[in-house]
Amino acid sequence: MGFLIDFLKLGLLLNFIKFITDFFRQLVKSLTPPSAFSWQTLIFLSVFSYFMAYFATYPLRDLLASMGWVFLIFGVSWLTTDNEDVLKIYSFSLGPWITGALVCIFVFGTWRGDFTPATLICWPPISAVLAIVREFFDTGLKFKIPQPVARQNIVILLLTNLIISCWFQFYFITQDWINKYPVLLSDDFSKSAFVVKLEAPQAEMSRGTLLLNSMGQLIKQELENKPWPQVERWLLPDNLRERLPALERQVEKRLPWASEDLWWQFEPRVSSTKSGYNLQLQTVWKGPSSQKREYYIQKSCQITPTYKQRRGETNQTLTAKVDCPA
Amino acid sequence: MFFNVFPIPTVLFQFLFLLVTIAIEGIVLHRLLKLSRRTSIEYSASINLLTTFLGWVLFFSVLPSLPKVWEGHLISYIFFDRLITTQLSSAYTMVIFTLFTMFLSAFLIKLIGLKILQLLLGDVPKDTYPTVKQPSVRRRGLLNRYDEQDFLPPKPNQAIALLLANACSYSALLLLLVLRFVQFQ
Repeated sequence: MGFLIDFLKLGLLLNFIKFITDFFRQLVKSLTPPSAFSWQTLIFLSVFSYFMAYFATYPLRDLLASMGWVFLIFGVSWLTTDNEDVLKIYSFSLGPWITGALVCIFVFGTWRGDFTPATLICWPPISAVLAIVREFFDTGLKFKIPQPVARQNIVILLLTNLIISCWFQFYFITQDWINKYPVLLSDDFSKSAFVVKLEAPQAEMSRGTLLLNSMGQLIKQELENKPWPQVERWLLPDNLRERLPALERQVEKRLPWASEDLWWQFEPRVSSTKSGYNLQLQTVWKGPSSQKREYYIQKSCQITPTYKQRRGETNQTLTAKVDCPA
Repeated sequence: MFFNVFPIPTVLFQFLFLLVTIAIEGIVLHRLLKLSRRTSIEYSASINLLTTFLGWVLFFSVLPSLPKVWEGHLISYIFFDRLITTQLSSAYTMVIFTLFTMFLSAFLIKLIGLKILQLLLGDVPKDTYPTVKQPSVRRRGLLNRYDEQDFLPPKPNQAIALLLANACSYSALLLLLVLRFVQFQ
């Protein structure tokens, strides 16, 4: 009984091996160039150039790599035009889009690693141009005006692709906004008719916290160890309001500038406690937000009077101690 | 850094709206201008795609030169569907004004676009209307007072057909917007 099962397993294994070898044989057959002038030669040339580029030094390396890409583009373009029936979705051949993607990656330097938005944005129009370029050339590469029947399709194809690239551009614009004001990321996007958010919200209030801590440090510097009556006068609401713009400017000077600074506003509030004063520092986000109520970060500083003996004096004077817990 | 917020609803909504508009305007053009169904759909598709594209171009060209405050309002509307306005009435007037301007400019673009398209395609709209018979000798008299011309329906004007088509598609857009507005309340 066991002998029979082993025999069956061996048969299956042999079938499997035969299948794999057949597959590879087919692959090699389709990859070998039937003639010198075919797409396979171009692909091989491209691989060859790339291989050579590894051993070359700069600047020859760049040249060889570029040539590799050019060969690849032409080879793929040839391949896709030959096999147009295979790559179709709803009578819509995919070839120009693949070739167009390669052209964009090559032209805009993505193969070197610097990804620009231009790659994605120019991809649909370039694909459309590649798709319609065939209509403009007669046999023998003579320039001709395309037939009226084809013209309508050209118009619709071109416009559709331009609109798709507008959609990509819109994506990059919204990304720009989010990068300029990272605090928006922690907000609620569910009511938006234009975008969806696809990640768990992270606490992106870093800029606001940074501003707040800096302001806290500044105030501490300003008030620490100063005589108590002076500090009390400083904490009066009128004085505070006067002092605020100058303080804000100083904070801005200390930190590298970010676009968000325009929308963060400081609102200090002083209340008296048993042992001194409580300074509530708030930065309020006055920019776009999904709620009516304003969004703020808060930090409390305790200002208490202590007796301190200043150097060079015999008496102890009342000075202020500022304590801002982190 | 790049993969958090996607304008998928914009794409879907615009795609849907384009389909609906092209269908409606195609039907109106087919009925009023007596074109074949295929031609009217193709015309409608071309001019609607052109209008949408020019609308996007206008948006992108206005965007960099917006003052920061307006940018804030725009971001607030696009991301959070909130209009930061001090008075609600001024918001509504702005919306109505914008819609009206959009309607007029869309109509103009479609009119000019259709003319350009017909020029490009070398299509002269086939005159399927019965031609008027001109009598070789005409005698003015009681019996010849009324020409045959007076009894034929008027030749369809492209501008009026486009105006009507535009009106129909904008009504559809308003309906969609009202539905969405009601759904969110």
